[in-house]
Amino acid sequence: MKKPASPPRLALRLLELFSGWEDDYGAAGDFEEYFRALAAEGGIRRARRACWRQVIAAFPGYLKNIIIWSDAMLKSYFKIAVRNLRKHKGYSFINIAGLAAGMACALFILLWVQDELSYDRFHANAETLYRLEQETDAPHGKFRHFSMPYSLGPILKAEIPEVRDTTRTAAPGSLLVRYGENAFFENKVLAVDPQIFQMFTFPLLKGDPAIALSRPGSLVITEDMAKKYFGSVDPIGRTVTFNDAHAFTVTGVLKNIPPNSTLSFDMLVPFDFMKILGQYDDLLMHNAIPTYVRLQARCDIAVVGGKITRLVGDRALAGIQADPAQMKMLESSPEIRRRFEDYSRSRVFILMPLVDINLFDSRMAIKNIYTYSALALFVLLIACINFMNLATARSAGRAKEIGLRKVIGAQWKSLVGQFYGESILTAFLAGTTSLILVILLFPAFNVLSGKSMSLPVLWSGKFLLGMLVVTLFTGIVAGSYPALFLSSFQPVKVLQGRLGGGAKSALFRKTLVVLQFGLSIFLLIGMGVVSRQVDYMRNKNLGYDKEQLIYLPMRDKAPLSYAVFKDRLLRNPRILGVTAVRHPPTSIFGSSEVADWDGRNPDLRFKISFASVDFDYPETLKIGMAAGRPFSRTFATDLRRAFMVNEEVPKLMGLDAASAVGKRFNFRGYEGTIVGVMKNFHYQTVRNAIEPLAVVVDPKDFRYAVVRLTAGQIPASLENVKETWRQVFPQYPLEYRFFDEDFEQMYRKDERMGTILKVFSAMAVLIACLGLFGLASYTAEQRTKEIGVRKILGASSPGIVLLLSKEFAKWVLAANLLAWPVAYFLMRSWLRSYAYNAGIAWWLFAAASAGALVIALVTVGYQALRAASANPANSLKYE
Amino acid sequence: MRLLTRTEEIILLSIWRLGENAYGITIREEVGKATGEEWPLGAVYPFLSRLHKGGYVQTITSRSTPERGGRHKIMYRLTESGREALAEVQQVNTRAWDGISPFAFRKST
Repeated sequence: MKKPASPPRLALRLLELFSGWEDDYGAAGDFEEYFRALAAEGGIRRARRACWRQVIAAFPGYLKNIIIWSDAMLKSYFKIAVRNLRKHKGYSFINIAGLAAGMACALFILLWVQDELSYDRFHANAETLYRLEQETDAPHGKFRHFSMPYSLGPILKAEIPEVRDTTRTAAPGSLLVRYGENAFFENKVLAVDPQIFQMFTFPLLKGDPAIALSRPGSLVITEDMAKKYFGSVDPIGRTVTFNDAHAFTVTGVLKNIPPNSTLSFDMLVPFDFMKILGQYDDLLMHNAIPTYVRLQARCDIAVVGGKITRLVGDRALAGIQADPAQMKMLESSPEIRRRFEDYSRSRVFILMPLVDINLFDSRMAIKNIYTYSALALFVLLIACINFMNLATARSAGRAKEIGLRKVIGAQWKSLVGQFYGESILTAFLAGTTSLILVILLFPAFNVLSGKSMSLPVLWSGKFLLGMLVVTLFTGIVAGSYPALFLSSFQPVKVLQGRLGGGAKSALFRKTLVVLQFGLSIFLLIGMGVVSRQVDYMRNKNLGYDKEQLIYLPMRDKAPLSYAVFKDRLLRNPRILGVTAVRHPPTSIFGSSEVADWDGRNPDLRFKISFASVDFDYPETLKIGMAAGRPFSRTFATDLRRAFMVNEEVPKLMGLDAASAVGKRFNFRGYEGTIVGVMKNFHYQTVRNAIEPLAVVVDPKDFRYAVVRLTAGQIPASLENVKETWRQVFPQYPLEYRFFDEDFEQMYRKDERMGTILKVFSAMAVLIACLGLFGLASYTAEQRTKEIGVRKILGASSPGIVLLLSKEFAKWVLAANLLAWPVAYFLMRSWLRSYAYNAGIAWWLFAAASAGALVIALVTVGYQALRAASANPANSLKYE
Repeated sequence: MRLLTRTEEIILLSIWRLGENAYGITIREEVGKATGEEWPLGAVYPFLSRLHKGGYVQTITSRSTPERGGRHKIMYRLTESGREALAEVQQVNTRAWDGISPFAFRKST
């Protein structure tokens, strides 16, 4: 037979606590009986729930009792606590300063986490909004993205009942927007469906959301844009032109988009604009634009996703069969047919909740949340340990007070309460201090975190609640050991002067110091590894010379005049080279899995990046050649019929660089031969491994001009470039960027991590040292007599310093054993995300440990020196 | 002798009514019947404790039954001073309510 169920133990305990059963009134048995009767009648679950309800019901009465009955006691505790704080000013300072620093760290992280979690929550319908995503098979596992066919949105709304609304958000790219004299390129223009205002909460300051985007040629702009183009004039009804060709009339002004919005834009136009630009097709095979949906309340997203997958699967094939040209292409080769079928089969549609995007998408804020929260917790823990250490160390001094309280009749419970009260009071003092710190350091925090938060955030209910939680947590964690340890003294022993458990508490203190320094050393090592990695990336040989290189985006019809621009520039001796690329030259993305060459292994799966470049590409960037020759105008075939590849491509072909030259190569619709092999260079961020790359000369694809300036004459040569631009492209505003700036931006995230680690480890070490300082001074004080006796017997001052320091040094060394393996494994896994990393240097470990040891010894040494140089006559005169 | 509080009075009366069968659970039920609202399970014990300390009730530890998971059961019975206290309350009540119609405080309809 099964053992009969009994009520949850915890519930029983809590009930006991709340109801204040001092003696046995049979309540435990009654409770059990109550539970069994209920369980027999309505099942165990119901009985358990009922039990918990009883616990909750008992709580208010409990609270009332505490407040009413302990009012007098609380006052006494408070008085004692304040007296204690004032009596030991040094210790109190160490405690409060340490806790305040730790709490300030925790509060900053709290602010940061709060901001990350607030992403997209401001939409009234946030819970039912989703972004459509798809997952397909790719050579390296599943590939997930959120490009949707142009026509998908309206189809879903018409066909799937759960879909309440959809809006497509297409970016037409950079547009030249002109209003009279004011002309700027705008990158953040979106072509959307008018339902956007019903789905998302983007309030309009002016205009009617119901009709703002319903007519072609209407334009909704943000407040900032209104100011930029119209100044103080009312923008409604004014007309601007896009690319000097399309007229748009302002029908609404939006409140600025908050920074914690995934969907971000400066201007909105009706979706039809895409059709006018010719960037539209009906094909469901073609992925192009992000699409957002709003579902009916309480829908199962897996079911809806499945419906979309089936619907698109059927329609996509039907769409191709209806189009003879497409059908012909599909039938042309079995390989294309097979690829098409593989692709259709592997395509799965998923609904990504809008509010999760920031946390789980590419930015992976959730990872940072975990990392930084852990860091903050570490620092806070170190501060709490200080408190515990000092409190237990001083326990001897307070033992008499406790003994006396017990003799008079204090109960264990009330003593625990007293100590918790003291630590919570200290925590509140520290909390107030930390709040002041937070306010003072707020601007620095904004710079460091890259956020733009304003001080009023601090007065939000959530933050204050969080702060209360942090304070209580600190108070309770820090106070727990002293409370439980001190209150368990036996009064007889204490008052006799025999204090039990001394060795045990010393061991406990040592363990805590080891833990503290272990955490500090771990943070120091982490800081070292991260800043080494940043330096490494910064100094890594990119394979080309990024200094003095700028690039200029050529928008709209500007590329047509590129040849003239280049020609005029090169007449200037300060301009050392000019070329052009299709992609932003510091991040060439765009790759294909289809290519053909002589002797290709048909089973080989690969991905080759692609870029169109102008002649003089390797010369301007100063990319070395591994074999063959760079493109040259002297060969007519170099236009569209020749490739330069990087060293990865011959590897893929199974050849060495020299023998790859001259091989036939078909890629991206270009057919030709490989004329040269460039040495590997970083055409993307240094984070990524260098992958195969093939470039071809095709003037119709030039979007960015790349110009090399003369070192030492940058302002002058830049002025030349500007002048030439104004001559050749009078109608277009000039934009340019240095390659350097782009790279700085790429490292920014890692740098931020490095800086944050620096701050945290500095905090950790500082707080740990504060604690060690307090502990050392306490030890020195305790051993005054011993030191006096030793000195009388002939011990030298250095000998005594050594005696005292040795002890602490031992603990700090032990801390290494704890910190090293943890640091090694964590940092190794962090470095794995970098294709090229600086590795973990052993000397970092040695340096961190030596640093911690030196700091610890200096801290302790001061106290030791003071104790050692004291006159023994003073310390012994009372014996 | 001080007068009982209203709650103490109700609990003592419940114990008297229950006679031989007064313990935590039954007392709570009885109190519930009298006041018309259900009490939290834990709420009766502080009162029982107080009444016990005041000498109004005595406790008798009876043997445990299997449905109590091996825990013993405490039965309550009025002591002499408990009875006296109730008698006094009754007297006071009767005098205080003397001559007042049962309908005096009903809402007139």
